Amino acid sequence: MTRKNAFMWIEAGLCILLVLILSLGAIGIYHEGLARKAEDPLTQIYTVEAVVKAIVPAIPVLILAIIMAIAAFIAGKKDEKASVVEKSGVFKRKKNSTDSYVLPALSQKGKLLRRILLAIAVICLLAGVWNGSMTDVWNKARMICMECIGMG
Amino acid sequence: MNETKSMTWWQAHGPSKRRIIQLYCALLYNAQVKGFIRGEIYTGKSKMVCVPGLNCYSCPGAVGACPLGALQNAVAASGRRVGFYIIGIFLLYGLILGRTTCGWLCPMGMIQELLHKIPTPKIKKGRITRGLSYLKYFILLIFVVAVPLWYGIVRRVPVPGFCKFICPAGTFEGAIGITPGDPGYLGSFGGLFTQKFVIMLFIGLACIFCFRAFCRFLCPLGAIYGFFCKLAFVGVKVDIVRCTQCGTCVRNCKMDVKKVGDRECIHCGECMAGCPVNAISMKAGDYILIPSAGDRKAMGEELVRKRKRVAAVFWVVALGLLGLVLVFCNI
Repeated sequence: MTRKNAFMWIEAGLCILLVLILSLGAIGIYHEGLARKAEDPLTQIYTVEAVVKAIVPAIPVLILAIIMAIAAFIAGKKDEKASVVEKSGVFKRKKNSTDSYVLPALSQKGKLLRRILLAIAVICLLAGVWNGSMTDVWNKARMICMECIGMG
Repeated sequence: MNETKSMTWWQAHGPSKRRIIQLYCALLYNAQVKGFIRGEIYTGKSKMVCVPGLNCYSCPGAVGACPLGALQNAVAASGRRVGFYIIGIFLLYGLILGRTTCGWLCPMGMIQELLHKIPTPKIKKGRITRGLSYLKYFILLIFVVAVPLWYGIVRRVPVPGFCKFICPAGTFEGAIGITPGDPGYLGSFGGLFTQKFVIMLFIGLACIFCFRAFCRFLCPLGAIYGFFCKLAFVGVKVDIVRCTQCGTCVRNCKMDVKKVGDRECIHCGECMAGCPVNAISMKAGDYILIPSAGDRKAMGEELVRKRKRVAAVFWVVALGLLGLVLVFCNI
């Protein structure tokens, strides 16, 4: 195992550890917050103090991960064995397969279909302005989406 | 390695054109910088316009709407109004760009690629990843169509299923983006945020080990754009006459493609450099956007210089637009 590979495996472990710490931290905040809410319904589940308390254990792991990443980069430079293109696993073609690796060029019918669909797209956009569905998008987008952020 | 030595330092180590365009798009879509500082979202009329890539409209910087969020809301409201606008948006972006959006214009794609640069052992593509790539169609059907339809029509409460239960962009750009500016939002977070935060972390971890894991396995927007793979105007095209069917392009590609330009291809153009016969180029219809090395030789110096001048004009216009949007959204 080269030095670069060793650093990369350590980096992988640190990334997994970091994710676990942050995940468990968030779950811990939620459960503690629920317990506090049971005693006092007006209390918040997430507070700045709880978030800071959950993040603090992750900071040394993050710093170590950054150091490992730099170390792996330097070790890779020294090894000078980094390949330009990383060869990926390939799907094994069936025997005697004549499947091409190339999509066929768009036929004249395909080009006509594209033009028709583009015309339909423009008509739909104009219809959307007329029937108010464009305004619906604006009405939704200009307010904070509670589901998107995770409120509640 | 010899090729690297003959390049300048910037050519060898600087960001590629594709990365610069991705950064440009990320900044253009999220031009309201003051939103991050104040903890408030943009409410201007430009939010009627859907951006082509995945960019949460609850991000404090977002100046456009998310097409996926808009689609889910249109599906939920389909009982009272037909969402012609969002149908038109998807047809337009799909037919013109297709999955070129994923490779060049999506901020989430850029974030995934940057995460993948973290030096760890990587999971290579294979039968399992190819099988997992069908998961995004399942997510499209259930979370983008069925859940909003059920809640919107039967329960009469619009619920964007993918945004609510899965989307990491909402957690990362929306929740984490808005909270530093206004910590008061913390009081509204509970079980749903915890669930979404953990999902976001694990998606991020998957992206470190597996190239564009979210894009390949989970993103319904990529699934929709993939339907337009044969019709899209802009994209990577192969010269069938020059192609020798060696398969180098498919072998080197990090996505789960079986053919260049199929529904899994994000048209990033990384295969162009590896093609031994220079058969791959980036085209818009018949016009060559990014020529292969062979095309460049055939063009001649005069045409190459003319193309560079045209590109420079485009960049000046693009930077001017970005500057205008930044000023307009932040004053």
